[in-house]
Amino acid sequence: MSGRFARLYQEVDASVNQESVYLYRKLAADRINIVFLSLDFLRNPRQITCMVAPGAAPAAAGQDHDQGAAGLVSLFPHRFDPAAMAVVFAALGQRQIPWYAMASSGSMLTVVTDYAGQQQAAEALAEYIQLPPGHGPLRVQQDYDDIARRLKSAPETVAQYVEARIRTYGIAVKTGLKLCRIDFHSHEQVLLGRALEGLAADKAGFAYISANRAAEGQGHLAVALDPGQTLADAPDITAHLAPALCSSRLEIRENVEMLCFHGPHFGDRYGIADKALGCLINAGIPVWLAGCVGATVSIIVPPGMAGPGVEALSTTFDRP
Amino acid sequence: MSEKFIMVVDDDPDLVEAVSMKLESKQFRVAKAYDGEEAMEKLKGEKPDLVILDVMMPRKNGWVVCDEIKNNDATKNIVVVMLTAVGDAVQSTSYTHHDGKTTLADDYVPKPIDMDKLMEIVDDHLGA
Repeated sequence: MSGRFARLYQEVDASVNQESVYLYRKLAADRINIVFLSLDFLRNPRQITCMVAPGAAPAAAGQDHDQGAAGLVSLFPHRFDPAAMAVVFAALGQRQIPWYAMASSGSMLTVVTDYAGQQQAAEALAEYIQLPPGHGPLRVQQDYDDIARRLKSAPETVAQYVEARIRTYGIAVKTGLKLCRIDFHSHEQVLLGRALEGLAADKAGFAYISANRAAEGQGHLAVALDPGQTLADAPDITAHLAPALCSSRLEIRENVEMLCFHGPHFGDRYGIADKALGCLINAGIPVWLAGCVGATVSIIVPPGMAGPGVEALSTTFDRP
Repeated sequence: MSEKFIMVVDDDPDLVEAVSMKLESKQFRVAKAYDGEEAMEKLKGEKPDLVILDVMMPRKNGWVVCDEIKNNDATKNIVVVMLTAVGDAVQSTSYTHHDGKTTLADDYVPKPIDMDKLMEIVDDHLGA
């Protein structure tokens, strides 16, 4: 569980869109770090959820951004197993615990909840999973000692990393993904969780997950599945989801591609998302989905766009 | 094939995963822990040949974990490689003072990690 953050949510009408209005751009201009970002440009209006330090929020957010005191609950390691998201939907759906967004990194599935609801969310998730011996206590706020807390928030993460070219541990590309976007209502979460359990039983592997809950109980889940990791004779995803959802609310896009990279202290540095997304947009590469979770940036792009995407990112990000 | 067993301890799950994947690709067996207390709990079980240990972690920091490993007869032979950005980032803190005076770690790798350098250090210590 995290400490207290401010949740900023923005919808942008793509028909009148100007890139400069995007929330992550404003935050970068104000040198405000985004500890979590989930971006969905698959449909109109485009949706962006960012989590920032509470003190930073009023300066960064205009009147068009919803704000709320929120926290992050992370489940790890997910090992790209849909069972992780099945647990989230089942646990939070069963207890009717509000959540606003989720996204995955290379190891974490992170959920945005109300700040006051973190404990309840973590306890609900813990009922569905086996925690390791000696695991961290389920409590809000990381219990760093005084020196570590100071270093985590100051010199290590700010002064140390003003880089003309941003170092990464490498840019990974995944191709041939099946992107499933599912619209759901909040009362369908438990059913959706069961459908996702079916995917897990078929040994399906995901490359990226994001979800957002909008007003009035509506939400959507996007899952980029890696078909190569699914049992050969497994039923199609539609078979799993049919009992839970009307098929008209399931949209599938084939051969989607993904760019993924991880860098030192990316979660503590402002401007990473803006630079990454800016590289792609400036190169004319459409961004469908993006997430910044922990120290990982994940970006879903249309078929054939990952290669040019790597080239575009390489103008700003170093690859070892 | 190497049968060496390595524990990776860091409060950044993505880093733990990245390092673990690299180690597993080199045929090491890997255990993971996400803070100092969890690492100490896991060390009560199978003893790793080497621990890759972050410094700044919640609940119990890396220096304390290192001292506990090296001052315990059951674990003192485990190779400890510290991951630290402290020395570069901060010139005068009790972390850096501790670093210079009392640590019993076998080796250091500065953050951000050069993954190839880390693998070299692991290979050097384990003779892989």
